[in-house]
Amino acid sequence: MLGKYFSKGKKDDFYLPGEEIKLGKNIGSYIPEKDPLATCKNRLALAALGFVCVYAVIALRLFDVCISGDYVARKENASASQARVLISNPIKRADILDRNGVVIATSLPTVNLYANPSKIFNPKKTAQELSKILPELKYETIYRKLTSNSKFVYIKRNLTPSQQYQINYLGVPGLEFENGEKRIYPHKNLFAHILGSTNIDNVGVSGIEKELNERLTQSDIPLQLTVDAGIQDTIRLHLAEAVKKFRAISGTAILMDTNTSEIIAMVSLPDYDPNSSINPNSKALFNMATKGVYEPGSVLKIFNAAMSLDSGKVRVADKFDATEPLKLKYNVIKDYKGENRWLSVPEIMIYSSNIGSARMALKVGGNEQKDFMQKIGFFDELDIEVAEKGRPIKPNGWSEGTIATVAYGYGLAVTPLHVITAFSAVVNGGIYHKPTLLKTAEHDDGKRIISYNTSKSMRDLLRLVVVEGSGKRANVKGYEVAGKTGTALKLSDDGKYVNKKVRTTFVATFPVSNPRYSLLLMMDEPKATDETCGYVTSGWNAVPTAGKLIEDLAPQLNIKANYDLDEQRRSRIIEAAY
Amino acid sequence: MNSTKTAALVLWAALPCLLGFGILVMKNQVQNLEKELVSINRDIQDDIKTIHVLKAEWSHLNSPARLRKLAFKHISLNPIKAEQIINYSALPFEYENNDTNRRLLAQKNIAGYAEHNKNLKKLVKAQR
Repeated sequence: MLGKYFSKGKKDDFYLPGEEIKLGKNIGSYIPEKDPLATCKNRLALAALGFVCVYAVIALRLFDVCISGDYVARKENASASQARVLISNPIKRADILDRNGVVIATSLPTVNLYANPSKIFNPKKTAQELSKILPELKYETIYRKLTSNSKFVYIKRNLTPSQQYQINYLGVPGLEFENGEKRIYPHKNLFAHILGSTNIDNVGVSGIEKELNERLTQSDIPLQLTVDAGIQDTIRLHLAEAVKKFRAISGTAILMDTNTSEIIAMVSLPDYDPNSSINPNSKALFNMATKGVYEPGSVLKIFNAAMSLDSGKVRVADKFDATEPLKLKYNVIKDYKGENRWLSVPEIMIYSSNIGSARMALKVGGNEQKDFMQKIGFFDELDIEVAEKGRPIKPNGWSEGTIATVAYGYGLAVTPLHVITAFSAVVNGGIYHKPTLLKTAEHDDGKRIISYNTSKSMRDLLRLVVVEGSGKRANVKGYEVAGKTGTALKLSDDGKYVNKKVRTTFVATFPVSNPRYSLLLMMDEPKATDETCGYVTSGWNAVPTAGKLIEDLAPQLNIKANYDLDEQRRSRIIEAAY
Repeated sequence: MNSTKTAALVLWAALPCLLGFGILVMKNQVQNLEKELVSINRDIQDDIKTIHVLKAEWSHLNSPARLRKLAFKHISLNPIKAEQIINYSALPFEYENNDTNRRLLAQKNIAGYAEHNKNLKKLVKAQR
């Protein structure tokens, strides 16, 4: 039948049944439009066209499915379960790296063992066999699990490969394996407080793991931090040594990039090993650096001096009366080792005079002091990437007594991180940057808190404290250390300050001619030793520790030693004389 | 039977057969490729896991505390001190115009440094 279309010449010989009769009748008045043969032909052609279209569609689709790769990709988007072309990372939680790309937290693939008790025929024997392979699990525990009513029960997570092999070898139906992962910290205690840890379900419960849990689970791109493993280790080593030597309860140290407020190292002791499954005690879990709020003591005199000088109401050469204790309405302010004379601003800093600082603050006024403390962030919680954040405790009212006590560091409690961040701003030229642990390409522009010139005079004042004052033991030759000590009396449980129970702090920056790093070192209740001649003040414990630390750190931080120019000139003159 | 009709019939009978056979072969090949893909994917996943484990091990072996211990045990070097870094201008170099004198001076310096190094090594040993 189809052959008809291919043989044009013979179409006249072909008639449909009964057609020849009609043809004979209407031979005279032939109307081509109404010719039934032509109609049939048209219908046939139309039907054929329809089929051709249908087959063309099928052919196209077939081509699409078989040859063109788009189809697979499109289908994959539609249903993620059929991921066949792109491989997903079997490890779901992202790694954490230090600033040099060293892995400081990663996840290892492990296997979990679970059971379907309804499928286990002989729970007694199975439990016996399992308790042999897993000696840390008791037979009774396993037996209870295997006879429970549920359809899914975990027997043990994170099996070792040999345990997995042995259990598999038992061939018990109903015992199944599940791929899991376990978070591990290759550096153990070193970053315990920064990183925090995760629970058994791989959800962050503290530190960065908790604060950035979403980021770590959503993408498997490693998260890079600003911390440096080498530096952190050096600092931890020295701090641990000092805490042991002075029999302190705890200690903390923070090293910060002065110009960007990036945290290079942050240690809080005592710490714990986040890999261990034994729960550490609450003291070891506590992050002193970001969670603990303390009255900073004399360290606050830095900010008092910066505020006073920046207000323009106090100049460096101004002298303040420190001949006798300052009597206020409710309290009397005394000096620790009074000079009992009029002191200039540098002398107030060098001798750490409470009276002088209080008088400076009183001269400037409460409102400006309050505004300044607000500006350097001492009233708000810090926006840092660890979950443990301390909320500062600020005085209720702002009376004359408050102005005076805040001036030398009492009545206002902040975290050590608050202090070091504000200190960095004071010495770096007056720009405050938000502290951060995340290494990103760009930094915030920061905000100006004091003028460039005030910052410059502050650097000179702080250098004097180290050269001539209480910070002498941290005067490392060549690295131009500048800083301020602080010894704050601790409040006892009944709300009174106890003598001899102190919290000592030292904040420093180096090299002072072009500050690059700021260091804070704090110890809680250091005891007097023979070496400290019975003293417990900062100058005898925190300062020498910081001195040793800076001596070790500076070459690691690639800081060129720069000897005092005067010293060099003097030696050159001596040389020339010979 | 008409020869053209026969030709057409043969053509239309052969075409589905050929097509069917072609599809069968293609299907077979796709199946094989898919099997290969699955096994490659499994290998890649295993490799990714292994890399993870090795990275963790590398980091563990490179932990500063361990390196310090090893360095102390095997290398006779102490941490550098600020006094050990000085400016070029501060180096105690003498200068001789004459060629032979310069050579003599260099020899003297080298000998001096060798002596100095020996003393340093002794000092390091004594310190330990």
